[in-house]
Amino acid sequence: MPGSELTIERSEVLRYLGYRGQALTPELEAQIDRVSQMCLEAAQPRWVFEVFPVEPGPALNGVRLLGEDIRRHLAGAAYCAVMAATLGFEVERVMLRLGQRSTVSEMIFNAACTALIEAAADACDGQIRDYARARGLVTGYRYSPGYGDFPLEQQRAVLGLIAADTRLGITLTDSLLMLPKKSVSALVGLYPEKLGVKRGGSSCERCENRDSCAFRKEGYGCGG
Amino acid sequence: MAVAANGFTLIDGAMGTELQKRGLKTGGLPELLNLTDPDIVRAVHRDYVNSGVDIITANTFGANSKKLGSAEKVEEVVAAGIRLAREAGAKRVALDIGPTGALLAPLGAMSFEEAYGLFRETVLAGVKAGADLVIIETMSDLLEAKAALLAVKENSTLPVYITMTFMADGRTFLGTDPAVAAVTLSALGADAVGINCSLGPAETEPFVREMLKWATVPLIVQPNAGLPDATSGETVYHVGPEEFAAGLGRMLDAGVTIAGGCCGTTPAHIAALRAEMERRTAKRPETPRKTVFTSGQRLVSLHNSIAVIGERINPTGKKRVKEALRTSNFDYILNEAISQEEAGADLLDVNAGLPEIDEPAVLERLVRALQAVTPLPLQIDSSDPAALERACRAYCGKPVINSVNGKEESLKTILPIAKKYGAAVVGLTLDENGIPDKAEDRLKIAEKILKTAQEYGIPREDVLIDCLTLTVSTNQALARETLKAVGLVNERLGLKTVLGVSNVSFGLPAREIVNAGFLAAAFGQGLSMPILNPMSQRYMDTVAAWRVLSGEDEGAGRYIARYADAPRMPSAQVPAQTESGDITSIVLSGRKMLIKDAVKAALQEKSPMEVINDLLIPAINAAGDKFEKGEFFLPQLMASAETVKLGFDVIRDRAGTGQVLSKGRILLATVRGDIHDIGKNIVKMLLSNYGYEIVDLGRDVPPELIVEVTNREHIRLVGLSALMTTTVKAMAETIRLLRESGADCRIMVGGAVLNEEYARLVGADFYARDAQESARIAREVFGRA
Repeated sequence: MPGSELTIERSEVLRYLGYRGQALTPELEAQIDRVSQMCLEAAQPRWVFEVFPVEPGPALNGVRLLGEDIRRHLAGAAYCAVMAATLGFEVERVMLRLGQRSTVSEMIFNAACTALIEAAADACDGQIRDYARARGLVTGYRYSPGYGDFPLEQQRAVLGLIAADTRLGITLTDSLLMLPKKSVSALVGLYPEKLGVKRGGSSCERCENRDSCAFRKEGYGCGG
Repeated sequence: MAVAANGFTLIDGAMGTELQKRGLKTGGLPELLNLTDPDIVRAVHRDYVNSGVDIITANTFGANSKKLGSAEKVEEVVAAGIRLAREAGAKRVALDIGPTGALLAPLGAMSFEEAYGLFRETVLAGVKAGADLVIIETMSDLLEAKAALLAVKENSTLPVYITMTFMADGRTFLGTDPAVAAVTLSALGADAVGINCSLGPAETEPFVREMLKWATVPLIVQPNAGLPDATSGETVYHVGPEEFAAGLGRMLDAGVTIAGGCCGTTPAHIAALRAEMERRTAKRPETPRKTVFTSGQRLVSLHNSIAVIGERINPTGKKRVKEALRTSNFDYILNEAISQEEAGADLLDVNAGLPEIDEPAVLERLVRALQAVTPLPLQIDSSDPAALERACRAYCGKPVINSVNGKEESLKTILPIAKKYGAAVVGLTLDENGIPDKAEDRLKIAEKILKTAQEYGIPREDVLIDCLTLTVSTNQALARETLKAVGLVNERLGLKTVLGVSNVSFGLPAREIVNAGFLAAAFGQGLSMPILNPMSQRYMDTVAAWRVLSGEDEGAGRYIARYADAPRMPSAQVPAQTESGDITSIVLSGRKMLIKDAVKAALQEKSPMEVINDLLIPAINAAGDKFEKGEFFLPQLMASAETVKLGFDVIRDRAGTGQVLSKGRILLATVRGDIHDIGKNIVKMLLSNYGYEIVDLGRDVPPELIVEVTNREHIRLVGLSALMTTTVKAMAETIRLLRESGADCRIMVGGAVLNEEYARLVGADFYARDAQESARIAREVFGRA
């Protein structure tokens, strides 16, 4: 699903760059806008999701999900959507090239990509919500391998459930990094409405970077 | 070759869909079913045999030791896979090879040789099991496809078909289009090339038609049964057998001769396709052979077109290129590559010929590094056959080899390399007797090169001739002979020509004037590929003009777009500023346009060391102070650092390198398994502007290499970066090995997942929470020199 309608907000890019209200020069503002535009032009945001019945375990299509946290997270869920989103490889090429030219542009480009992949994941999440609503269900928040005690080692199995390699080109390194780097994978539970699952809110508790997060050190989260 | 009907070859359809129908779950590795559920696998094959196929694809798509764990397991799974297909009654059995599942460098972490090694194991297992041919399929990465193809050709004598998979926008995930795939894989010696998976017949058809224009071997097509809707929450293939077969029928009419199905196709789809084949006769329309070069993302064709080869990546007479080659710090060269591309080069010549370096190793690394930052096809330039071979092997695409000549020794060493790697080759019109004066004699050498190349199986369109430019101030008659030879080669042999223009003016003032005149005259004789400095406006003006005059630039659209606003705006006048306050304010505001002139002005009054210590370093310190106080955020600090760097470049260009800067040497690396290197790059940028010399080992660096370089180069400060929790382990391992080796160094660490506590746990001396902190640490280690 191409996400050509997605946009990059300057305020988001600044936030990922660690901006704290310093005085900006017009040159830097223009550079941020120019580089964000380059990101939009190079990015090929795509995503897929597939909905599976939650089997006892819990398991999805025979893949057993490990850890207490994901079990708790999916408690009461009738279905679970497996989703992945990516910006594709062209942005990585552009970034390698920019890195040769200007570290500032490379940093801005990286932040713009982060803003865009979040927007793509949100868009996919929105479609899952629509899918759920059409069936009288509500969705929970995105939960990914590596959150809490849901092992990162299950990343391969999770991506395998939706053939993210052939459909999105997402592969894993031996150290379980997703490539393209600007990719997101997640599980989204679909619950009967009466369970009243809360969406959103702070996601820091389930983030693998919670102990080292620069945003948290400053007293607030990344908004993810 | 066995054929289904009327010259066509029919291949089977999907395995996965059929297995699911028989109740098997999609999780796990389907290849293992060859061992656990042989009856089911055999039954699927048998259904396809009954549909009338010529080739059964064995269930070996993912059978590599990375997925299966060991070469023994690969052999077992492949043997079972081939046997099951055979037992099902297959006429011919194909060893099926899919992608490794890991991505190759530069965007991924797997090396070309590692991928090759995995494919080699699978190929050897297939040969041993008695496969009749090999099908390499579903490739997204042209370089990985090349690794697989070489593994088949170097380790077997089996025919090999190869398909890549394209998205709806006509590119693979890695950005290769059908034309590039067709050209490159044909040149590398595949027996058939084509498209599979991802799309249904309707979406595949235009890409197949594109491939038919470029492939010099038969076309193979295996589409999906439609394109599943990514947002429906389920994967459903909607195209039924009749629609599928009708769609493929149109491609058979267009010239496809080998066809089957991919995801979602069934024996019914394949039976319907067979019926389409029986209604027709296979025929492939003749397509004119074209001279064409590729990279993974770009195709350059000389069909009604000239192409400019950028000459700047060559150490001859270039201090900074020499230094880059000696140190393997390619940053300067990579920037030259990007600049030449931006200036309008169509290909880049790459020469790493320095006597004091290991040229084969350096040229190979340089080719890889260049391909990470520029999509331009490369002309690999060396007199060392070993260097040419290694660079051609590493190259993603169809390159040009520069060069072979009329000497027997040259012909017999260089031409086999060009043939094997599908490269075009430049032939120089010289032989054992040197360069003939007369154009007719140069033509004779060109004829000999062409004839010999064809004997080696190199098609004539891949032979390019360089008639050799000689210096007009030495012998004024020779320029005309060169031009005449270009015309003769062009008319009599119909070969494309290459010519370096710069030598002609050697010894004359205002050389560009003579060179540009010579260039225009050579175009008039039919020159296709000038080798020149594309940063010269005068040459590129001549090129643009010729493109209009020759009709290549239709309607002069490109010319008008480029020159409509000429004469250009005069560049802004920069006031000369010499006081330190000016440089500081330029640096603090990150105004890169101004810094070079400011530093040049300062150099008129101060020594290079004074400019550095009294002006540039205080300026970057002021930026660092602002960052520490929170008055700057990181991009502002880095903009200041980049501005200072341009100032250093001025000094470096003037004073030569080496003696200018070295407050100490710092090794930086992103640890093994981690390819997020932006944090490391930021630290590198900043530290180098504080006057430290940086040894950058890059990303995904093995601990052993870090230990080796640290000890060999007597590095006193090592900076390691890791972004992922999973790669912090590699960081700890690296530090442990460094300590054990007795290296006399301090170690700082940084990266998103680290903090003071982690840094202590992994055994580092310092935690660098940001780039500015790394500069403070460096000062502590090296002192305030």
